[in-house]
Amino acid sequence: MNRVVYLCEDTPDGIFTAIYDAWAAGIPDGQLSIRVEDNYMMEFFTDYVYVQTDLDKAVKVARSVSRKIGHEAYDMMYKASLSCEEEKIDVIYHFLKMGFTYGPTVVTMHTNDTVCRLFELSRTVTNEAHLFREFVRFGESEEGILIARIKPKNQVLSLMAHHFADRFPEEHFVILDETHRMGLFHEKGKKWYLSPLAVDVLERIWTHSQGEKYEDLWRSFFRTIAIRERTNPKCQRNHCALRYRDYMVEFQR
Amino acid sequence: MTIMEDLSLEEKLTILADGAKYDVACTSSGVERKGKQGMTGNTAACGICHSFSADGRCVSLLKILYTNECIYDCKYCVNRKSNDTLRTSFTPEEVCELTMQFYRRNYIEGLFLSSGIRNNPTQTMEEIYIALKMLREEHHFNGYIHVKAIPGADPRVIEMVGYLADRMSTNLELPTAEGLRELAPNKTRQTILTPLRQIQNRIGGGYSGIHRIGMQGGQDLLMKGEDNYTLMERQDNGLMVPPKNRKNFVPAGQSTQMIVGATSENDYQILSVAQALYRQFDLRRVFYSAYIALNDDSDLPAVGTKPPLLREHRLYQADWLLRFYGFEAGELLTEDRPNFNVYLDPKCEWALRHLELFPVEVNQASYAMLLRVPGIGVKSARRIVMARRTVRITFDGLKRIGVVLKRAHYFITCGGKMLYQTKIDEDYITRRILELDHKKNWELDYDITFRQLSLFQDMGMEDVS
Repeated sequence: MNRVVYLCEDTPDGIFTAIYDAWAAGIPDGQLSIRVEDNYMMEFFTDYVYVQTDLDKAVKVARSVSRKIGHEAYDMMYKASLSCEEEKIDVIYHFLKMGFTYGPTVVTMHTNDTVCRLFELSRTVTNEAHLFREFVRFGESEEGILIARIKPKNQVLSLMAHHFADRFPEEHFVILDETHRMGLFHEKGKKWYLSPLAVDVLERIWTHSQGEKYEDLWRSFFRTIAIRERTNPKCQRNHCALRYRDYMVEFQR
Repeated sequence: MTIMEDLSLEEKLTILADGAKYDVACTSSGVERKGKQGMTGNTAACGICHSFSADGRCVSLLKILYTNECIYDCKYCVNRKSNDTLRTSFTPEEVCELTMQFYRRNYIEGLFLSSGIRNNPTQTMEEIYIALKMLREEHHFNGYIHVKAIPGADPRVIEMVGYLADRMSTNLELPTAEGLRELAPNKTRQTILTPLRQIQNRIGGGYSGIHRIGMQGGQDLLMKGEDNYTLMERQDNGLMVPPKNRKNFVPAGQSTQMIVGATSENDYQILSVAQALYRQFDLRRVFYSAYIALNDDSDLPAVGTKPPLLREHRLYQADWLLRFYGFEAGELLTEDRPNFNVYLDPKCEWALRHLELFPVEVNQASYAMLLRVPGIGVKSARRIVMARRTVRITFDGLKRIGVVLKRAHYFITCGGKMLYQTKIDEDYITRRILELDHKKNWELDYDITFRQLSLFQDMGMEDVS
């Protein structure tokens, strides 16, 4: 029998819908794979099913995972679904199969390969989100809007949103994710939201931000605070890898 | 002393950050506070670093001095009275402007305000109070503030500052009272411990940095050679600020710092002092700072002496063992063996001296014992305890859990078997582990002399004679 590949949108909703559909179809494990539709290379002897994202189905999956396997499992699965790894959905799917058998204890089975993989995916995403919470830098537009830009591997915006909305309730701010062409928008006193952006729109928003005196002050502070006798660029790179530095004020110029 | 009046903000920032950079603490941890409508900022219990400077240290807070004018002449300090450097001070407005503007651009997690002593300790503390009050009340800053409690300042002012700050610290400077007397003629152990005790009493107990792991009852280990300090009773005379909600007073606790390598203290003394501070003063953190020889003084290491970075690293590792792994200073070092082997991490060193306890069976060992295995950390020990409820753990499983097997395998069994055939012999295992660490240690502190290669010792051959 041919292998069956479900192709879905690369968002948590799309992924959860695909899991719902594949589960309902009852395809044997060995023959099923769920992939993200962008950049997928077609193969021979494979049947393709294109999944139409359906919010109701996604909510059903989320709800039954939270209820039957627990919040921790749901949290891990949600974060894993934001990963940039190709096989993430297969891992989530197998994890859920285990989860519905073992119940909430599944998250403690650290020695199991699937649980371990899911844990790693979710940890990688969490770590990247945390690093961007640290390293994202806002510039200011003429209207006083704070604008930042990042180039993450994973879809970390939704994991950063709460932190900054809580921190800056009195600010208008925007964070642009150039990898996934998404924007996080926060208007003073309102709830934040994510929105996909066309490339030219993204660039137009970004060019509004401008350099100013506080950036220079920050650069002088940053240069001064290092102790010459302890210079250690390798340690610096370990903590702040070069790929995060693209839009960090202190590493420019 | 040249006091400059009309410097630009950038020049002031450079001078006053330069004077503050030798203070090691830059953590923004210990308190979780949500944002508030109408204010700027929140805090995260784990702390958030925002950048890493060229020396690899985390930059979390805007670490500055309020002023680098100082009436004291501590020999190890760059800001000492007798040093001929430019002196300047911020105004409260400037401190607020820098903090707010850096904070909203996400450069920093908050402010770390330290200061030289201008005129007298109380006046300096008051100036700091005015700046912090402006930042909190006029600029509605709700982020992290770490501030120095200045020894000798009026306790009432220290207390008022405590209600505005998240963390306070008073630097012990040197591990022993004698060292302090020698190098900091204007400070005594007594005046340093007084604010520590005062703040501890106001916070209330139970906030020490030592994490109980339910293994041993901690008896107080009394400091040797320490001055007698008197317990500062809480003074409830009407002059004090009316007690508010206790949680608002220095919620992230206190920390301190000791300079390592300026005087002749050994590691055992330093670690015992740290342990006593954790236990008797409920400190959250003790920081260690490798002495950087900048001042020319006959009582100090010569200018240009390399800072003892590897020794500092070992002390931090040992500090972690005290706080998270249930070790006591007396287990790691003794008077006969008062210094760490810089080539081995302290936990490994301990395990190698207690091979009679190893190997331990991963499927049965207590959590406390697992924590003592080199290569198993707090997270992996927790995961092992969780995972073995449902499955028998194998070496393969340990790898998935995140145990560093190349180090741990000398000390553990899974299902009664070790990973490789290993001699349980101190010299043998020591040599193997040294090989693992060799490169890392070299990078940490490349100014070490290597011992002569020996055919018998290094090639694993038995001595035939």
